[in-house]
Amino acid sequence: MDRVEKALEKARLKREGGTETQQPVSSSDVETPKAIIYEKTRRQDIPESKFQKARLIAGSNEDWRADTFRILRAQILQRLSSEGYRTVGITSAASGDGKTLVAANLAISMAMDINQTVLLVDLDLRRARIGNYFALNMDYGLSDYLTEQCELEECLVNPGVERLVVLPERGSIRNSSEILASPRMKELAKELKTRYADRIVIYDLPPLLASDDALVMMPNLDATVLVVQEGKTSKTEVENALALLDSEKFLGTVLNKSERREQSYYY
Amino acid sequence: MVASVAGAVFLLAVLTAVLWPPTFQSTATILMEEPAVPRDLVRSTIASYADQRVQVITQRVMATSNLVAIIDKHKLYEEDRAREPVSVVVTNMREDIAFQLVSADVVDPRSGRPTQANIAFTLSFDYENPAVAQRVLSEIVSLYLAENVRTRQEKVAETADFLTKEATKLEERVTELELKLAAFKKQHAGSLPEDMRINFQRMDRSQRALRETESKILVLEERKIFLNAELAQIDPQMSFRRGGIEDMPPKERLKVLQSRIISLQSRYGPRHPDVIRLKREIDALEREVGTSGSNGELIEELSFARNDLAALRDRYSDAHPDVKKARRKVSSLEKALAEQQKKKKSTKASAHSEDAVNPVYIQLRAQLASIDLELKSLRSQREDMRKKTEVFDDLIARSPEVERNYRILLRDLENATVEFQGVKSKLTEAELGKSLEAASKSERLSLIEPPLLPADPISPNRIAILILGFVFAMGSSVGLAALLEATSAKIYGARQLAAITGHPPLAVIPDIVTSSDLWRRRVIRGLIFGLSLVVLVGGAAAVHLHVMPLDVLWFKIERRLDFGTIG
Repeated sequence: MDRVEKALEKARLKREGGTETQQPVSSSDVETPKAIIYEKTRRQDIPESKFQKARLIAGSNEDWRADTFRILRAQILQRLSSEGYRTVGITSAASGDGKTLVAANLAISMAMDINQTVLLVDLDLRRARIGNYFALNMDYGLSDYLTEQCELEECLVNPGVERLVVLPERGSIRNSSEILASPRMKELAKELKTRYADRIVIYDLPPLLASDDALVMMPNLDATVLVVQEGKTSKTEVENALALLDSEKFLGTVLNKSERREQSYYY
Repeated sequence: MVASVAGAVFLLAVLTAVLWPPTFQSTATILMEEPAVPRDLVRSTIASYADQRVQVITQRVMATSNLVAIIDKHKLYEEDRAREPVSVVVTNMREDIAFQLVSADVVDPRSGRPTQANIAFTLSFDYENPAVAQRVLSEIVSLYLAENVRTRQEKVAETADFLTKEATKLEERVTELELKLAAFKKQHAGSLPEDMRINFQRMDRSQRALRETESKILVLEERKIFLNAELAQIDPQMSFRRGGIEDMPPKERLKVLQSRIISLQSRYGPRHPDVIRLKREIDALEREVGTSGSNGELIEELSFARNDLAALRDRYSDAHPDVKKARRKVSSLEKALAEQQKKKKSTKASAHSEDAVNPVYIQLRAQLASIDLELKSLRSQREDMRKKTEVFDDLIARSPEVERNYRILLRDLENATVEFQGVKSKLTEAELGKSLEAASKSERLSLIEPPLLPADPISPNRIAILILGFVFAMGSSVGLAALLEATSAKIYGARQLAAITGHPPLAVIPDIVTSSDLWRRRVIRGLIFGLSLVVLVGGAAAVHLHVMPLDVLWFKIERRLDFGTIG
């Protein structure tokens, strides 16, 4: 029970220090996963069934579909680390391509990996879904913070998945692009990026062609990923989306809802 | 979705293959025979080509009236008749009747080169009932044969008719021209070209004769002059005046007295006693002598008196007494002469020869007389000849004009005759052609393959439909996929995405379905399956009960598909 002891110690330290710290990993502890203690962040344990119902399957070890997210995770992490990026925005050409689900599953999958922690931010202010997916009870949302109605800590939630924190949105905001363009958002983004060295921030962005929110956010992001739904997204949409995205930040595409199992390597 | 479309197409093909009603075709072959009598021997007046004529016959046989009669007789196309007007049904029927020429390689008898010629043709009729198809085709075939005979006979009769009329016309014309020519000849007889030679000959002869006559006349006139000259030198009374008057014979005395009375009459007038006494004497003498009627002396006296008168008139005027005396003498002489002429009427003796006493004189006189006679006749002859020559001249003068018109007439006649001959020969041929047709010795159609009862339908080719349906289903699915891609251009597959972006996607995420989704899908599938099963069974039961038993249906379908007749 070394782990428990270490955790308790950390907690004590935190109460004294008031910040969230991560213990450096000693060489003897290389096998043990890092334990993150959330002191300020609210924790809400969501049962597995709800996850399943919400199609958040990336955490499962037996589900072959989770492997696909693992692949995605590996690809993204590799690219991010090679450039030193820490924030990535998930967007799609049109709405309904399944990007929110991809972002959520990706976040879960990344959280499974012990090398980093993940912060999932719901930036689709007009149609905020992440809170619903995770079945969270939201007192406050991101827009509340951006309109200076609450503190950041009050919005963050840990949904019961290790190393994963969610910053959801509550309502549906009409003037989303103005809010996202505000200096407060810029500051937030900067802070979220630089706060923890091993934290990846995943932004769930609105569709590129639906509004300009994603474009507004673009300067605050290190990288972008485009989600494409097979059989729904047309070539022109993809081309238009690619034209809008900054090619330097663009990591690649994700083909969603594919009917074929491209790789059925049963292992 | 694409698969379902393909499936639907194939199902449609299957249904078509099974349900499409069959069409049976009955076929007959008709040979176009060469004439039994060789063409060179007797040329038929029907000059058209065999296949052209057959096309014409086809048009006639396919006339709406014929087809309507057939439709009514055999009760064809009953459903169509109820729905559509007859003309439409007939048009459709025409499409079911096929006419096809059959050609073969032959050697052209005239040039000796191998060519293609149409030797026969086939007729076929398509219908859903084989027996009906055969019957209808038989009727059409007999229509053809009958029509062919009729056409040919008609044509030949027409030709003969026409030629006969033409021949009659031409004959009339020829006769007319012949009459005209005859009349012309009559009118211009003698001026005709054929007469010319004779005319010239005759003219020549008459001219010669004329010249001869004229020369004869000339000769005689010369002679006359000569004789007259001689005569003038001879005194007609000379050799017999010897003594006085009493010595003279009574005739002579009478003559002297007669001349004496004339001179007395002229000197003293008729009432003088000497004149009366002399007259008495003359009368007595005349009674003695008889009225010899020689007035030669009187004539002499008269001529002398006339001469004297002329001379006197030259010298003196008419009022001079000598002139008057001379005139009285001339007139009394003339009177006496006239009296003597009257007395001498019966006697025909030549005055000259009786009055004159000089034989030479008399001879000369006689010669002169004969010459005169001859001259007279020659002169009249000459006149005749001249007249004749004129006639010939006139005839010859008119000949050019006559010749021209004559030639025109002749040529017209010749032309008309030639034409007439031509038509006549054609008419003969036409008559022969007619008898050829009547004896069916010319070209004819003969049925070498009668309409058979078709055993198998010619359409539809069910196997082919099935195969085609399958292929089409495949093709349509491919096409549909392509269409989908083309119209919507949605992205399918990582490769397409890679093609657009230039890199393969970072990951390919499957469609995440929850168990509830799965369960829902399963339920729906089950429902559909169950429902279709119910429908199928129910349908089969219904068919079995109401339409026909299923095993019978199976056999029918098997028969329809008939795997032994592919293609």
